[in-house]
Amino acid sequence: MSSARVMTPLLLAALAAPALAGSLRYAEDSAPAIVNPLYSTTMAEARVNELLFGGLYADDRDLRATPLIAESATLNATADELRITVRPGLTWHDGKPLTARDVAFTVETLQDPKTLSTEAGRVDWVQSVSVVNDRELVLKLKRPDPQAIDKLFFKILPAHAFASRPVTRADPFRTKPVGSGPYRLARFGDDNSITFAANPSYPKPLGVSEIVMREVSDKSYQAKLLLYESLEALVRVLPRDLAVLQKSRKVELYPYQTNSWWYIGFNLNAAPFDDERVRQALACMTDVPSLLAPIGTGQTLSGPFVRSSPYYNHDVPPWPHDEGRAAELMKSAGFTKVGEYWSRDGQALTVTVSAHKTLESAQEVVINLQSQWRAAGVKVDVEFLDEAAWKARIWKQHDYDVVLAQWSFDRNEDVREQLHSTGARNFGSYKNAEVDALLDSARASRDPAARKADLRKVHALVHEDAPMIFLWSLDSYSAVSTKVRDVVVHPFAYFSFVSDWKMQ
Amino acid sequence: MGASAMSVGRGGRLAFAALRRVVAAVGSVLGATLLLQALVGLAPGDAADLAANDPALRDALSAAWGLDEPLLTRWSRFVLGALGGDLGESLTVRPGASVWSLITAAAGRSSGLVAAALALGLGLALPLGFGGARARRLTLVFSAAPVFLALYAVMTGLNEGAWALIEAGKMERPGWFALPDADSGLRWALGACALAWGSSSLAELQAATADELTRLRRAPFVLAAQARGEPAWPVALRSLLPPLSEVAASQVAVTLGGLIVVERALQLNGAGSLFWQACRLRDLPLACGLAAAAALVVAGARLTSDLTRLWLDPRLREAP
Amino acid sequence: MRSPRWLGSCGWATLLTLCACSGGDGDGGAAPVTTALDETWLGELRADPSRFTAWVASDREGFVLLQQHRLEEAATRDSVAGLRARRELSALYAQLTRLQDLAYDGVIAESSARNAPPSPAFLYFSVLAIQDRKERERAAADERPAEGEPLTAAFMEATEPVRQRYAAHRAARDARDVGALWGLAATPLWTEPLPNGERRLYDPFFYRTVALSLAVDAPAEGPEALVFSGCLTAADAQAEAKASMDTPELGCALAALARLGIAPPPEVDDPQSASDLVVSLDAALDPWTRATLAAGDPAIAELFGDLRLVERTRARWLLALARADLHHDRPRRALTFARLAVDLSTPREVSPVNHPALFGTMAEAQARTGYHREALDALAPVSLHRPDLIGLTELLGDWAILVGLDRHGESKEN
Repeated sequence: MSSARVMTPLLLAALAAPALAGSLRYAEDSAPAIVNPLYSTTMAEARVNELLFGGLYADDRDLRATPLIAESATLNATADELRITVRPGLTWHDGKPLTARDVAFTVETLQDPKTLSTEAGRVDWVQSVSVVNDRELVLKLKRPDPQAIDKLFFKILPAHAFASRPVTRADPFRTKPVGSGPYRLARFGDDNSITFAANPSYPKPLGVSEIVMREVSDKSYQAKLLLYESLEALVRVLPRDLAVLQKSRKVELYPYQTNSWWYIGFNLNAAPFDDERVRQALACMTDVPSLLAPIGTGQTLSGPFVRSSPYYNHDVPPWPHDEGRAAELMKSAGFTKVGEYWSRDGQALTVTVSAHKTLESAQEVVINLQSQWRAAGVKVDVEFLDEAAWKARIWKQHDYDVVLAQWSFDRNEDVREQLHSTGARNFGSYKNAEVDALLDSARASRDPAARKADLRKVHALVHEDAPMIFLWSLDSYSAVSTKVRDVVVHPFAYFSFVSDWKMQ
Repeated sequence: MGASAMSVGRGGRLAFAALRRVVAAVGSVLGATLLLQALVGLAPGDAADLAANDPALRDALSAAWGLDEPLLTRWSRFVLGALGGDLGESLTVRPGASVWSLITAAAGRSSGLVAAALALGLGLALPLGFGGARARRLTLVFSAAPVFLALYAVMTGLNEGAWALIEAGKMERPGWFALPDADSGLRWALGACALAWGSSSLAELQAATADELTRLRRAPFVLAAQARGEPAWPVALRSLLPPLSEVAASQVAVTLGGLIVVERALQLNGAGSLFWQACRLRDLPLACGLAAAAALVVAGARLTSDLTRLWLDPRLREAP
Repeated sequence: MRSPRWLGSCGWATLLTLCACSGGDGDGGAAPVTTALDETWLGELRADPSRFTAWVASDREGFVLLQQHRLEEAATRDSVAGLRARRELSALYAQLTRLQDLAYDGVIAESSARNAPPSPAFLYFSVLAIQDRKERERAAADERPAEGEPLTAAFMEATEPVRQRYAAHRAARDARDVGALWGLAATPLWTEPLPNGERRLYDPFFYRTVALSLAVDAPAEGPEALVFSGCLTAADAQAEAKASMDTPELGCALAALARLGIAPPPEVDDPQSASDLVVSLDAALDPWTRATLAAGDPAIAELFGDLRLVERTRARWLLALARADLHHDRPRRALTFARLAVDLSTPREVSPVNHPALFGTMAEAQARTGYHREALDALAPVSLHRPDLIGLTELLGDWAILVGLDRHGESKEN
């Protein structure tokens, strides 16, 4: 196909497109630590990646896998080889052409153990990659997979923009990222903001000329700024602000349900939390609805899924708030009440509750939890950790008693990393062979009923083992100014359909 | 000859004072950076922890960034790099950006604020110093007020008031709205006021001025000038400058400390705010660079004060 | 009149002028109060709140239940309130039936596309559900089943428990009485063991039976038929009864829009047009509500403040627009209308403003646009106090699982 034939429709589309208008400012609690899809770990980073980078495939507005950078992807008859053709005429933000070599580079870089990418799991199904020409490449699969196309969502990176081989996190790419997404990085602001400008070569007219990520650490102030029209979008609204924002006729609220749940997690390496009776007793000392009430509306949980999940086991009730039962459990674990506190070997049970400073409303929850547990006979210390301390103390050193935290999941609600004994996010060191086997079985199963049965059993076992006290899921909404039109929010990645948004 | 000897003595004293201050400055910088390295090292977590959850990636980054080295090795590397004009790269605040460029840009944004706060403090302290005990009590009460709470209340009041007027169609959206989000002169002015007030310079400056005025009223050279029928204020003012410059110099360090809080509260993106971020994100090169720069500024202010005193104070100038 | 520009440039001056200015209420104080509602039941109540007592006097308790959308309880009452509740409940279950049909089709299609063949038992149940639907469609069109049709054959070979259950459904539909079937719907009709649990399949006929059994041919008349409904006048209700695809109690939006001078939404599946319409609607309703409450009459405050009659009616109109959009295959806009109707002070609860059909509509719209997992979430408030919805939620769950079967699952902290 000649370039003229490719360009003509694009030019026509550009001429027919409305003029780019306005700057859309959205707030994050904390600015992304890095702009590089190889190393993203937070939701804020995932959202920025969505603006800057594209995948071979992406969700369309009906959440169906649809080609984006790929023009087509064809499996061979034995479903173990995937031939991918890259869409012609695509360019990177710096004007260089996007080719099959970039796709191969991305796969190989993700797979290279020296890259130490946090996203390596996205291509662990690929055996090898070979480039046929600038537009075609072939992925050899480790095992036949008729639905391999559903795995082509990882972000494609430009081979020419990385200075180092193997690629490292310190590569200068982190300050000058180059992508093929609808927006390019224009500048980092002194106030930690990041400005993204519309990508003029994006093969679709954009209705918002500029997007600015603003760091506003105070969540309450975020809502104020939206009402004051100093922001156009809030990624997540505090539940207590929902009614106020709904009354404002200048704001529209969109459900942004990320399947998130709060929990109190125990360090199973630290005595006495290695004893499930102590964990269960603390669960019985916790009046979960009373902790939830001051911070908003939500649903209390008994396991590692939100209540509307197909995996949620409705036969398992949450631990009751029952001090009598808690006392029995504490006694069976060797504790006796000395004065007002439970003690063992002459030592009063003292628990330090650690919470992340940026976890919204965590202070209210922790203070109320402290008073509940104190009333039940447990001394409680409280600490709020900043990001660095959190990562070091909780993730790396496992130096904690109890954490108050939250996990967010995409629609697959895959809890394997959190609960499997080999899971990378199982920092509490939970280990149950039966749970491991069930998680493995669930991942392998293609029968929805079997998968549900596996994971509901996981729910029941994890509830009983109580490595965490499952607390609640909060109602989650995003708020966007009515000046922004045609808004569709992706249920997890948020900005996937931003190219359709328009500013009035 | 007497004049010449006196001139040499004064020049020598100036040079000696300068040398003493330079030595002290070098010591301050070294001490500040070492202390900071130690403190940041003691704080839980480092830049590598922030960057990765994966243990292998964490270890690789620690090695690449020298975070696993002993304190003294890390510190010497920083000092040697600084001597060679290389302060290194930011690790987490602005990954990959030159620390030098970040510091100079931030210092440029903060210098005006600091200068304004000091000038405001001095400008108010002088007239207040003439005000006697009542003014002194008033200043003390004023200085003891919770400045940041008041600042927050002022901002909230301004925001809510302005928004009510905008919504009612009685006012167009002002450029400063909403505080402290929008970059504006008002936000900057509030910052300067809060810094002058909050770093307690006003009370100290006023107290120093009042004490010096009391002393001057009884000073022989002032009485002599009065006896000669000459106006006393030029002599008094000249005599007031050395002690005030000393107080002002000592206020520089306090003001730089206050800068961190004021810039954070008002979202002013200067050196104070950057230092806070560098510490929060365990960006050691940037935090050390900023600490070194701050130590140099404080030492520079003290040097200037010493030289001013030597130049202007008749007791020091005419001492044998 | 606007103040001079210098006022805006000086914050201190702003603070000082505050005391001289009244607080803004967001509408600039200039929006005219519509008179379009004066000749409606809302307007009548504003003029004379004591009428409300007379209107609900026939069954005060029934109207309380109706107001709170406790439809199952209200439906048992022998009154206008009961009749209205039965019609609304029938509409809700008709919607759940559509959702179930959609989910069976979706699961079968997705299983085939993803190389995840459904179990024979599931296939069998889906055939039964499809057959039941076809039978109803034929009945509606007054057609006879074709001889030897494979689906019919499968249906006739149903196992005994299923055959018995279906017979019970036919009887219930003929007698227009769901009866004991209410209690049976929450237990599986079929189970088979799985390595770590069991496959449970639920009654595929139930929702249709409820919808058919509770359908009441003639709507109520008089003021009792209007209070708490979306129809502002009896004329609107009669016109809606002739034109609408189902209950006017959940309708009358277009008549209301016309009364308020708002253009009907264009016939395209454009969510933005729903947002724009709601902006116009709120601009018309807000001043009227404020003016009504400003009167300071405690009886009016009780009706329009505590019972939130305007918000409730607004939600009805948006629900009606959403249902109409679903009917005309505009699911994206239907979702927007429904989303904008939900009262977020109780986002996951059926409440006086949040009709259960609102959540059903969201679920159907989401299921039809690929948001299967989100459809389950939307349905949760409806299923909370309806154990019979377990069959539908399990089915939607299967669909959501199948759609994400080959995707890489992601999780993030906080």
